[in-house]
Amino acid sequence: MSYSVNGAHLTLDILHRRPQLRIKIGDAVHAVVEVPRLAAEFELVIDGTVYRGWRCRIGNEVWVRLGGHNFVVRAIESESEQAADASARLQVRAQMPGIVVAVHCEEGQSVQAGDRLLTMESMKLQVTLTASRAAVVDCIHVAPEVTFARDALLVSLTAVQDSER
Amino acid sequence: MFKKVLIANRGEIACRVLRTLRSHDIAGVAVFHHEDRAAPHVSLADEAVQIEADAPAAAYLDQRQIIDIALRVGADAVHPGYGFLSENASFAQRVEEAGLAFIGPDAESMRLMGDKIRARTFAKEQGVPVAPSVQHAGDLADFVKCAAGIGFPLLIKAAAGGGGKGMRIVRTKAELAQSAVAAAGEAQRYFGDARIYAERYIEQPRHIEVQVLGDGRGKVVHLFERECSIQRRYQKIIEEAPAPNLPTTTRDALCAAAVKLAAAARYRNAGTVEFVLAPDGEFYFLEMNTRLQVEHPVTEWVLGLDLVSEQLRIAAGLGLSFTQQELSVRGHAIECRLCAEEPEHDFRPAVGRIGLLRIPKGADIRFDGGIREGQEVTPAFDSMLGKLIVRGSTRAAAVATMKVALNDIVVLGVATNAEYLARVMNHSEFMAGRLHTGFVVEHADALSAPPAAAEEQIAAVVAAALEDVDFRRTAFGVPEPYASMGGWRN
Repeated sequence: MSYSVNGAHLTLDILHRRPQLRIKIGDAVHAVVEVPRLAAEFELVIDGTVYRGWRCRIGNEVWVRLGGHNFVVRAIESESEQAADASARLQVRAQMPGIVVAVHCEEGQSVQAGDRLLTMESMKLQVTLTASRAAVVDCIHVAPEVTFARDALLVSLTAVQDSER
Repeated sequence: MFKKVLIANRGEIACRVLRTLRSHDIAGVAVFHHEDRAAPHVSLADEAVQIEADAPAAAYLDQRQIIDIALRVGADAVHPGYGFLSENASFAQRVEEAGLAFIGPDAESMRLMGDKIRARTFAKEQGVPVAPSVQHAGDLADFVKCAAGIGFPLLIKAAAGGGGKGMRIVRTKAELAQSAVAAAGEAQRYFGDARIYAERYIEQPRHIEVQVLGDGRGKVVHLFERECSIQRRYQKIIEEAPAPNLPTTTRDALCAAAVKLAAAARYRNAGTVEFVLAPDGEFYFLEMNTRLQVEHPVTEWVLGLDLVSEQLRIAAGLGLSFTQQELSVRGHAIECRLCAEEPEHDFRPAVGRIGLLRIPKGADIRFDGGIREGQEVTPAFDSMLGKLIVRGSTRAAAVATMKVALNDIVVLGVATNAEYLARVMNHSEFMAGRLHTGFVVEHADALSAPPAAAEEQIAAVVAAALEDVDFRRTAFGVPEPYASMGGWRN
C-alpha cells in the first residue's frame, strides 16, 4: 500500500500478524502494538517507543497529531490499481467548498477531453470543470444552487479508450 | 445598567462579549448570516436574529438591518466588537440617533482619529511626538534641503500611496534628489498623483500601544502598554503585556502621551494609542484605534480587569470602576493568534473542516475562540480561529506555559499556524525579548518548519492506516463487526 504523509511517499505492507503485528515501511520492518484508547486518541508502541496522539478522518485524508506536529496522510492508489481502473471510473471531486452555478452535461452523454461538465463558484471565483479524457457521464451528483463541501463527489464518468491511440 | 445588548459582530469577539454580558445578567442578542447559523456565537446568545445579505460579511455591515433588529428586540445598547462597523462613525451616530447606546466612543472621535492626517496633526498639537516629515511643495531643491533636515535614513512616500509602492529608503543626502524624482514619477504612474513626502525611517521599530479608557467628560486613565511587534503581512500575530525590556521612563512617557491625546479629544470608552518605538528610545505617534482591540485580553490578565465590563459601565454612564493609582501590572501575559493558514506558503489562508478540536485548559490558559468541531472554515471570513492567551508570574514563565499550550492544542482538518507560533516561542531572540516589526522576515529561515523526524512520519502513517476499518481487518485478521470496534487485539 502507498501513502503520502505531508507530501512524502511511503509504502506499507503487513508482513506478520502473529505473534506480533510487523509492518514493512519502505525498507525497514517495524513491530507495532496498539494500545486501546477512546475515540480520536491513539497510542502505539512501535519498536518499543510509545507514540500518543490524535487522529481524525476528513474525506480522503487522515489528519494525525503527534509530537506537537500535524501530519496529513492519504492512501495513494498504486500504479497497478490505477491501470486496472484505466477503463473504469473517473471521479470529479470538489477541491474546495462551493456552490454549483450550472451543469453543462447530461447523464449518458459522451464527452471528449476538454468538454465542459459543470461551473461552480468557490472563493468568489467561478470555475468550469472539464472532462480530463474521453468518457461517458454516468451520474451527476449535484444540481444548480446546490452547495457542496470539500472532496464532495460532483460527477462520475466512465472513461473510454481513445480510439486514436 | 443595560438590560439587553445587541452585538453587531460574530466569531471570537461576539462570544467574548456575550460571556461578560452573561456574568452581569444582561441579555445578549446575536445577529448572524445564514452561513454562520451553526456558529458558536449564535447558540451562546440569549436571542439570535438572522440578517439577510448576499455575501456573508455584508450581513455584519448592514447598518439598517442591525439597528432595526436592535429596536425590534428591545435592546438598550449595541456593542460593535472590532472590525466590521466598530470604527464606522456614521453607524455610531445612527445607533445613538435611534435612541440606543453605542458601546464605544462617539462619532466625532472616530472621525478625528479615522483620518490619519487629522489625527497626526491633532497629536502634534497636543505635544505628542510624531515622526518628522516634510512635504514636497513643488521645488525640488527646497524639498531636498528640508528632507535632509529630518535626518537619515529616511523614507520617501507617496501621499496617495499604499502597498509599499512609491516608497523608497534613502540613506544619504547624495541619493536624495534622484530618489525624490524617481518616487514622484512612480507615484504619478501608480496613483495618478505625484505628491510625495519624506519621513524619518525607523529601522527595526517596535510597535508599542497603550490601552486607554475615557469617561467621555475629559477624564482618561491608561491601562499600560502592550507589545505587538511580531507581525506577518502587517498583521499582529503575537502580543504581550507588559512590553519586555522597556525602560520605566519610556513606559511612563508613552502612557502619559496616550492619556494626553485621549483626554484632549474628550475620548469616551475604550481606545488604543499606537506608537512606533525606535531602537534609540525615541517614539512617535502612529495612530489611535477607536475600538476594543483583538489583543485586549493580555491587558485584562495583567491588571485583573474585564475590559468589556468597563466598556458597559462607561456606556451606561456609570464611569470608571477604579482610579489610575489603583492600577498596577502584575505578572506577564502573552497572546498568540491561532489562524487558519499555511506559514510555509507565505501564510496564505487555508480552508477546511475542523474535524477535531481540543483546547488545553488550565488556570493560566485562556482560549477566546469562535469555532467548534465540525465547523467549516471558509474564505468568507477572517482566518483567525481564536486567541490563545497565557499568563505567568514572569515573562519566562508565560513563554514556557505558551510553549506547552501550543503543543497541546489540537486542530485537525485545516492547516493552522500553531506550530509556527511554537517555533517563535522557542526562538532565542523572542525569549530574550529582542523584538521588532521585522522579526518574522529577519528570522524566516530559523522559523521555517524543520523536516519531520522519520520515526514520527512512520508513526503517523501507521496511526492513519489503523484508522481504516479494512486495514484493521487485514492487520488483525479480525472479522466484522469486531474489526470496526477498534483497538481489538488478538
